[in-house]
Amino acid sequence: MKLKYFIILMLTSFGLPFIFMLLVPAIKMTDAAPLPMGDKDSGKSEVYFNPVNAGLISQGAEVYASNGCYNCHTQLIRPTSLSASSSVVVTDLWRPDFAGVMDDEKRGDTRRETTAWDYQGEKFAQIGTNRIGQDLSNVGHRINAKAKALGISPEMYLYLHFYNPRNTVTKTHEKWSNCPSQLGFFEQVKNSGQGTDIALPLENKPGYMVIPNDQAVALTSYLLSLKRDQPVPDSINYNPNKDEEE
Amino acid sequence: MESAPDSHIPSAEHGKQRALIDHSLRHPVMFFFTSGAAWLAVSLVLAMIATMKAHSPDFLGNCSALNYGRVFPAHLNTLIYGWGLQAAFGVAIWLMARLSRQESRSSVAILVAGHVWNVLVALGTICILAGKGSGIYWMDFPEFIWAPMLATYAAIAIWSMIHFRVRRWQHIYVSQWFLLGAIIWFPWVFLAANLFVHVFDIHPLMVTASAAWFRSALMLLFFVPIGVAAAFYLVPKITGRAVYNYSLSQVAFWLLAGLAPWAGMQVLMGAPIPTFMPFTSAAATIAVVIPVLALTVSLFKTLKGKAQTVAHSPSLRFTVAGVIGLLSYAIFGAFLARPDMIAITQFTSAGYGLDIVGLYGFFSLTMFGAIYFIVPRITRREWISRRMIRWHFWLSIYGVLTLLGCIALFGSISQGVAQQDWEQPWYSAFMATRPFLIATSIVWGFMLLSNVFFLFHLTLMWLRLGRRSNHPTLLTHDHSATGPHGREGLIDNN
Amino acid sequence: MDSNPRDTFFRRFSTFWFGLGLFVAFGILAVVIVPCSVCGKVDAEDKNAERRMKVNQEVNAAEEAALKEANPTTAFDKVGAELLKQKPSASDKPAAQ
Repeated sequence: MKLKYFIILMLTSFGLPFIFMLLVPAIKMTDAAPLPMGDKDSGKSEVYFNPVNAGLISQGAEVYASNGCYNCHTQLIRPTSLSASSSVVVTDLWRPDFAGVMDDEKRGDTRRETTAWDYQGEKFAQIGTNRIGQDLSNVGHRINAKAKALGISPEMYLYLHFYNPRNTVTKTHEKWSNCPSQLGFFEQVKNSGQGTDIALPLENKPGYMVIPNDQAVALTSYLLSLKRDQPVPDSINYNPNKDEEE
Repeated sequence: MESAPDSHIPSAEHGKQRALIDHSLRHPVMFFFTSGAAWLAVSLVLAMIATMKAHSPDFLGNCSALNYGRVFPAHLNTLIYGWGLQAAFGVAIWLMARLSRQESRSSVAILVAGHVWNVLVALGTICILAGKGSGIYWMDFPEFIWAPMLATYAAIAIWSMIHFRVRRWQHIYVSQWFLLGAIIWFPWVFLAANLFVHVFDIHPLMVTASAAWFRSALMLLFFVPIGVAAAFYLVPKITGRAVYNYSLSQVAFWLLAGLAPWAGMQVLMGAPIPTFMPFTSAAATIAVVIPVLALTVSLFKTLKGKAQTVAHSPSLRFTVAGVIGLLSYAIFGAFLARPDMIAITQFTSAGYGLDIVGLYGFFSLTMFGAIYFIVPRITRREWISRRMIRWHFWLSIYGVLTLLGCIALFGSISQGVAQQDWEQPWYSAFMATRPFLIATSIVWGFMLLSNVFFLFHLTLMWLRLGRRSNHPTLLTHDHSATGPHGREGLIDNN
Repeated sequence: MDSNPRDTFFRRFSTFWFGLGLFVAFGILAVVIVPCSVCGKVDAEDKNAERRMKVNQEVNAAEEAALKEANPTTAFDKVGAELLKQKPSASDKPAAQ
């Protein structure tokens, strides 16, 4: 085969998937028109679906990425319709706390699958590769609930968790956490005066306290913002009970 | 297609040509093999730490740099960019030069570029361990690394394209097609992926999809062709036979070229991206079995009746094991790409297990085969110890078999089925995963031990301490005069 | 080595540049097409902002209209004059606590 024909065939065989799997989908997804919450009849057509994350939350997403959290945690609630048969079912939506909350005061069962707008504010969707730990799409809700049960703030719950995931304060409900200890997120500083309310309630050297640094604060912001169960536009609402919502 | 001149008939002229080519390339090729092997060592140590951390997070204390989320990406990226790519470079430039009958005139440029590559990989790895990684699987080096890396690649690989173009004979051998393909595909894949991931401002899901495409494309369009090229060179060369059905390998090349770039996005099944993408990728991954099967058949038919040769030749043993690894990778990958298997194993260790079957069970074993062949020719010394080669081989095989059986297959299904059980708290899914995390430590333990022998042996060769001998080191138990060391008591003093 | 008629300087030179060009072919294609195609995208934030700006403008217009009918500036003078006319007067002391 002549080199000329080789190059042409190479360009074609690579070019077609390059265009149809990378180029065109990237342009179309990025340029997708904003989605109104409802059609003209529902009276919601002026409001566009826009879950916004910015600032500290976006910085927190970067801390999440550079500490490799995606290696153990996912952020994707897959639709049950993906199931291939009745014995092989994708059960992300069925779990009580992955896809939302089951007993919200106002909205009842808020669980839903992930939408294309759920990753706004992050450079890339941190879907993850392995579920050694839980899916984190709605971890904000779980942390709020656990912190409330323990009588501490959600931020403090997370600081304690990062400092020592196997500590006795936050591990009253599970037997074991496989999460690494992120000591790099904390500093030990001199305790001047009354101290600060973000100091961890731990035993320390006398006169010293342990406080979280910027990375911990950003990551906490990010994790607490992970509540991907907002109401979605009617056109992408696959909840079988949607007519009961309101 | 013209038929080759009688190249399989050795002649003094050809022998001299080969020696000149080997001599011109001795520095860059030996550099890539030793440097690559050093990165392999780093990657194996990091793998041991990472896999221990996966089930025992407090192993080795709580230093941030050794947390699983940093040390595991560091392991994987040094395995790919440190060992995988450098081994590929060493084999590709040597093989293309030999097959094109061209001495290298650019060895200095290649050597300098090789050192720059080392600096980049080292910098990238330190950044990952320091918590400055990008957080993108298989592309964890920080943003500033990819552009110099691509430029360095060009400085290494462009000369092989030139060798091909000015080759002595019009005839092109199978391996040259695969090498040329890999040389051209790598920059296409690497540049496209890095532009979509780091440069363009596109939808976050499409960034993730581009990264997923990159992982599959790097495997199927770079590592696979390089390994196949090495196999198609070594098998006929060592057995002394012409390759079985040359056209079959041509067809396989174009099937691979046409199918492989569609694959990769099946790992995002269920994500809110256009549905045709994961399903097309799944279909392409399954279809890739066809060209792989064709290549395997071609190689095994060439080997028919030569079981003794395979057993005795270190290069051939590793190459054949690598080809079986390739077939396993393709079939296993196809099995996992079925939608019902994806539904269970999408977020289990199946992905990583499959990746390692490809990177180690196929690619590394094939590269070891090539290295055992090439190093004696460029150092003009023979390997010293049959035992070390055997231990290298068998421990690697144990590791790969444990990987295939315990992690990639049973482990991931077990993990997946436990995850499906939505009525149980997540803790029970984790407890089902834990034994297989421990098994992964065992796998890398085997690989680490296996490569201690290899690295020690390679270092001895690098120090010019190999045997000076006319006969290659073969894995026979023969102590007769025809064995590598001659009769008992006879000292090789040439 | 024996001479190779295919090995000319021109061939090496042209392959070098052609090869490098081939390496970056798809990169150039992407760089040319993608940034231009995504620059005109309309954000949901912009569309929601449009709605908010519409409401804002409606409110401002209504205020303007109301102000026209009863312009406070005319009343200021009158009220100010009234206040100036009043004399200070004693106020009761607040009852002792």
